[in-house]
Amino acid sequence: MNIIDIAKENIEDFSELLGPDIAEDMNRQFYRGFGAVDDSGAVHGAMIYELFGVDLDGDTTSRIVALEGDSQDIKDELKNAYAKDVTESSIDKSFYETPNEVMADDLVSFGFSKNAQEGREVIVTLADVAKIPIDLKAKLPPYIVTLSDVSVIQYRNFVKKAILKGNKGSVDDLAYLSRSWFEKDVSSCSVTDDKIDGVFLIRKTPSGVLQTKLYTAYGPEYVKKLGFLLIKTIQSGLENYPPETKIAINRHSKEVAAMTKKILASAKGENVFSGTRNG
Amino acid sequence: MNMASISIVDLDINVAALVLLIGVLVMSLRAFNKKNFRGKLFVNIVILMLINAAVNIAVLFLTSDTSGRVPDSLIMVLLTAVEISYTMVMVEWLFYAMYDTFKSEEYLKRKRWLVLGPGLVLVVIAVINLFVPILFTYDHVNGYQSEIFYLVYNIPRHLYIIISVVQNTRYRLREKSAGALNIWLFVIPLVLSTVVETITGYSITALGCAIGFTSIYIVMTSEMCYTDFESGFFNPNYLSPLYNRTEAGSYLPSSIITFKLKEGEDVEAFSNTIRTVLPDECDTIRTDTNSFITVSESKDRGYVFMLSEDLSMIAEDAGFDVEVDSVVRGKNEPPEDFLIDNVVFKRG
Repeated sequence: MNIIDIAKENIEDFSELLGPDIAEDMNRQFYRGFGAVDDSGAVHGAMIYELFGVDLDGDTTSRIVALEGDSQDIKDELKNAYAKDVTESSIDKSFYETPNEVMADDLVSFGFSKNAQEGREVIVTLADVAKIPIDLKAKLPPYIVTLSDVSVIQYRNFVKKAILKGNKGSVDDLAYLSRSWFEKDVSSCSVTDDKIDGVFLIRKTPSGVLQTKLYTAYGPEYVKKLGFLLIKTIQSGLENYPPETKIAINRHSKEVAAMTKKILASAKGENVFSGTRNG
Repeated sequence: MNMASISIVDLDINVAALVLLIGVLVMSLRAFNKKNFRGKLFVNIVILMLINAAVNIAVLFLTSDTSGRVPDSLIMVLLTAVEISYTMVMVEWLFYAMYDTFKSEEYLKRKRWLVLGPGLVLVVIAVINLFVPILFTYDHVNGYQSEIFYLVYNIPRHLYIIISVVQNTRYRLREKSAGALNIWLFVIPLVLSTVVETITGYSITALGCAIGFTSIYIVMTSEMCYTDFESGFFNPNYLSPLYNRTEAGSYLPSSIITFKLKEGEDVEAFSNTIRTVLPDECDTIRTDTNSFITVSESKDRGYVFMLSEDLSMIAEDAGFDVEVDSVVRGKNEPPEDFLIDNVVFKRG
């Protein structure tokens, strides 16, 4: 069995095993992976992880996204390859969160802890979101637009500002993502003096799920702008997608968790297993 | 308040205010070009205050004659003009403070009626007072008499000041940025002069405002000594206070992007081009004829990558030949050493 690096060039070979969403994510700056292939090139396993904090001087953390293998030996080889990369990439801490107990148990044997808890991600539908207690028919000011209405320079200038303020949402590789990576007709922006000063960025995965990625605003009346952005995004979502379309909200920060609790009080994350280890 | 005779002290105070304001106005018109929006707002306030001081002086002179030769109605009109001009100073001050805080012309436009509206109501009430004495009266026998309602009338004008301070303070706290000296340079003299006027009865508010505006003018123009007029960025003089702030720990330079323009290229045109991609949060300094640096407090390599890419692309698209390089402060590297090692500077 050969353990190879998974990269943009060969990810297609692993897409059936990993699914279209993870395969697409392998094009991102901080996604890494190892694949197990036999001499004929047939795929027998893969391990995918995402790095955080690479661009800064603090700790580098790794999130184990997937661990698949036809046999325990293959998974062990993949884990050994990962252990090597922990040293080479100076990974300080690793963690996982998965509903898959088999994967959790595999990682426990690799030195990870295991806890059962509610997952960070909440999945609702557009129809659920349309029922939240805010006036979705409100007339929005003209400076609230969709991402398709702003230019690439405006978008990039905003991203630079957000990074300078240390706010990347749930996208650590925000600096490396183009405007087109986000769903342009649903993501919304607030524009003042020809500059973006607020966004609600949504990503549509290959499997058709709308993911919330960055929700922030700056400048005067930023709270009001956040409200308008939420309304605009929901309005645009309902215009462009059917009500049963899934929306995944990653409660990566206290603020997002608080807002989700406020507007979608009954929504809960699925039951998952999570754990960490040093290195 | 009963004003039967002219107060020489009042006259001196208001003439001093007028002279100060004329000086500030003339200097401001010379110092700030038409594109300087903050400068334009400042000039507007000074003009309004000048009108207020001038009309106040006229009132003081004319009310010194208690023989009745000067029509009471003329005095009333002038007193009304004093009130209206003072109200408009407060309105314009809030516009200035909002721009100083948020640096957004569009935001001012969005809020113009919210700011202007109450002021216009006060102006209308002052005009109504000419016909129905709800605020004050004047006649040559009894002098100036204010009504109880005048106290209520004054509240919105004070609110303009309070709002300017609260808005600025809250925004600075949220953005974790340094305090706005400009706001307090005006507010403190205004508050002190209002208190002194209330206690002593001397008409000192105009002087308080004039002192405030003079201080703001001095600060605004002292900032200009760090400006390179060709590019609009900072000149090398700015490196000295930047280093001092770094040494003091209030500024942490963490990444520097250097870009060197080919000799003979149009610096002004180049600067206007790259300005569109430079974040407001960075300091861009023209270090010599064709060399620039952009310093920021972010160590994020993604940010450095983006900005370097944007600078190269936009310069190339506009036909400029420029070399772009970048450096990020090392993990344990002291910020002062990082600044010294990567920038040649002169200490003031």
